[in-house]
Amino acid sequence: MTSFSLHFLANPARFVRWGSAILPWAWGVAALCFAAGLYWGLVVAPADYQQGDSVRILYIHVPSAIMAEGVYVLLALCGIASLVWRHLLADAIGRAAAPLGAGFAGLTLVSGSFWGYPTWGTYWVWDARLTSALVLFLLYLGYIVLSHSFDRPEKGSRFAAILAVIGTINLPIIKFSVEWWSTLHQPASIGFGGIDIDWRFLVPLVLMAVGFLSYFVAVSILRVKADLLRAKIRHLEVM
Amino acid sequence: MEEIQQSFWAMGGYGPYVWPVYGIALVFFVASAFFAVWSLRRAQRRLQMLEQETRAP
Repeated sequence: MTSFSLHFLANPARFVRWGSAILPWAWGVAALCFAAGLYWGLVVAPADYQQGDSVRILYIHVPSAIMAEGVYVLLALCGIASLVWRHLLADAIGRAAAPLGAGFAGLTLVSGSFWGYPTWGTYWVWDARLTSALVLFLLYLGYIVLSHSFDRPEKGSRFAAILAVIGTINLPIIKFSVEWWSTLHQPASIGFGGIDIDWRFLVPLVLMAVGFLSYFVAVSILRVKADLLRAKIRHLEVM
Repeated sequence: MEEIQQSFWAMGGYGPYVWPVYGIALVFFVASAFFAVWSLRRAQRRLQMLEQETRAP
């Protein structure tokens, strides 16, 4: 028990200090990027010559997808840190990030679905890209359920960490699905070959992506702080 | 002016697809932020109470 409380005081305290310092900046960047991105995306940017104004769903769909995948990478890294070093902070970050990642994954599916109907004539199809995106969402749900399924949070986090690491296999499937298989979903416009998207669409897209990321950082800091406090509370209640 | 506003909400006929997406996104962002703040404040209050109790039971 002693080593637990010493360990608890070390890194988490530093994280809270750094997090509290970064927090207002993260909110500020998020607010600015959303304001600029939404204005540019909804008002300034042109409609697509093929898809009309439905292309504006892009500015929610793509940043959501980027975040859904990125946050999962974070979960996997935290999972490795948790399994190898038994790090309290890694568990806390994973627990904080997972519901947000699930939200981004869900938003990707929903926005894609609404975009799919006028574009392809269907809300859903079981192709490689959409199915692996659904798997990503389900992995998040599994992670969240596992991390809360046990009396001791450390145990739940252990299982969740294992799930996160194993589920990593899904990420390259999502990424390359549009190249490996013939799918309904269009191929990537931004990749190693270059950037294939007009700058008038790219600017609001980047603004929104940065906004999404900044927002995620801000809310995650709040959630980790709360998680660490709850660990302290559990510690005091046991005494 | 009226026409510009009308066409903005109409989104070239794609309104029923575009606006629900932005609406759902807005709900997600606002709800997540509020919940995070509420959850943190709740934990801070509880910790304060407990620390007072351990000092003066």
